Amino acid sequence: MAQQEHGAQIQALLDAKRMQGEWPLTRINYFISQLTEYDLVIEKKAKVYTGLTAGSFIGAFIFIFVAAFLENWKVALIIPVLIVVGIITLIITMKYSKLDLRNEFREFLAPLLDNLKEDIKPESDISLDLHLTSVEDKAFFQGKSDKYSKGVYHKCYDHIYERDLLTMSLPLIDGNRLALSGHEYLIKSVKTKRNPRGKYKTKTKYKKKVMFDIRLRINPDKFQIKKLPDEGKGPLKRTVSVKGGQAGKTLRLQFTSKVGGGLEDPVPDWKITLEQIVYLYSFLSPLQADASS
Amino acid sequence: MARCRHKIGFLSLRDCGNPVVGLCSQCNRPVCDKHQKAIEQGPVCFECYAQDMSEDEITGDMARLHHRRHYYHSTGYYPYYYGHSRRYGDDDYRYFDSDVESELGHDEDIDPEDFQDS
Repeated sequence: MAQQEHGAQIQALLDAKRMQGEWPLTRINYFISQLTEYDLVIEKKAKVYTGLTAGSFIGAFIFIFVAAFLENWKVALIIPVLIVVGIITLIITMKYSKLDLRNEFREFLAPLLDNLKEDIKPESDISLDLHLTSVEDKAFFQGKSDKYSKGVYHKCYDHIYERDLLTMSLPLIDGNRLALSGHEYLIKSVKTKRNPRGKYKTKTKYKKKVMFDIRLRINPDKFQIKKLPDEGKGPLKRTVSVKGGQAGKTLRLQFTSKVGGGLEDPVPDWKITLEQIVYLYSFLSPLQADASS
Repeated sequence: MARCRHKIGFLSLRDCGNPVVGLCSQCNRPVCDKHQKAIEQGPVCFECYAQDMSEDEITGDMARLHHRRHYYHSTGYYPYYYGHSRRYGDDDYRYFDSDVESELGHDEDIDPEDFQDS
């Protein structure tokens, strides 16, 4: 019964292509492990069918020359067969590509939670909202730039996509509350040039950045903020600020993580994010120790 | 009953607290089954084991220890320790409660002999 319920929840996440809800850490880890299993199978199948598609079309191309060389029409019969196989496997590859999940849940969220698991308040719910699909989607399309030229590329366009990739809130064992959000921003540049032979060549490049916002609501019974942090210090541009509220003060750190290096589907580095969380903690001092000193 | 003195947590530290199965052959820290690694010289605690290993060679809890140490150094953060162990003279954490130090005398230190008999 419980397994059926879990299976239905996994299916609901896959249908929504989004992990959205409030669950304890054990449940989130279960979802991550199940989704990872699913995603790896899909990725493997997509890879196999991509290989089959490429092999079929290359094979058809080679058999054109083989048939011409042997002047044998029976050999030539294999060419349309290979083309049909190529088209079918191409359709299957596209189907699997659509089912493929973004890797943030297993390459960013999973290691981050694994490192913080002993700091999360036991049995408490974690509020989570994470997209499982690519930002390069009609739903997140913000606009297209005007035509411009750059070097040998006479026709260039930038396609801009934007969304909130992740929102997460964790109650910690020391009474603080950690909230993390990431706003994703993708620029897909499509550049076209004409080579000396008169052919048009198009190149696509991706630039992605994720603007992270980490908030640490301080437990006023245990901690205080010992000093105001320096702003924009170090190689990573980050700003730290303090806000006061009725429930206590909140330390806030904002930084931008540039990811990709031209890759189509890059994942932000969880290590940088974890380091920033640790950095925020370095501005805390315990109330009891201060009172005794 | 003696409790495991492996420090768990990332942002703030505390003792693991599980029942002890042995002492680390390098630092004498009492450790539980989960936080010890059997090597030729005898059981070692994760901290001693992870110390000489590169990040690629270790996984799971030990990798977490590696990250923890790395980030403490890179950010200048000294985590708060809610536990009771001071026998190893670590300088990489702060006691959350300053009274803990005064409460702990040499009685808190565990004699390795205690474990050899059990």
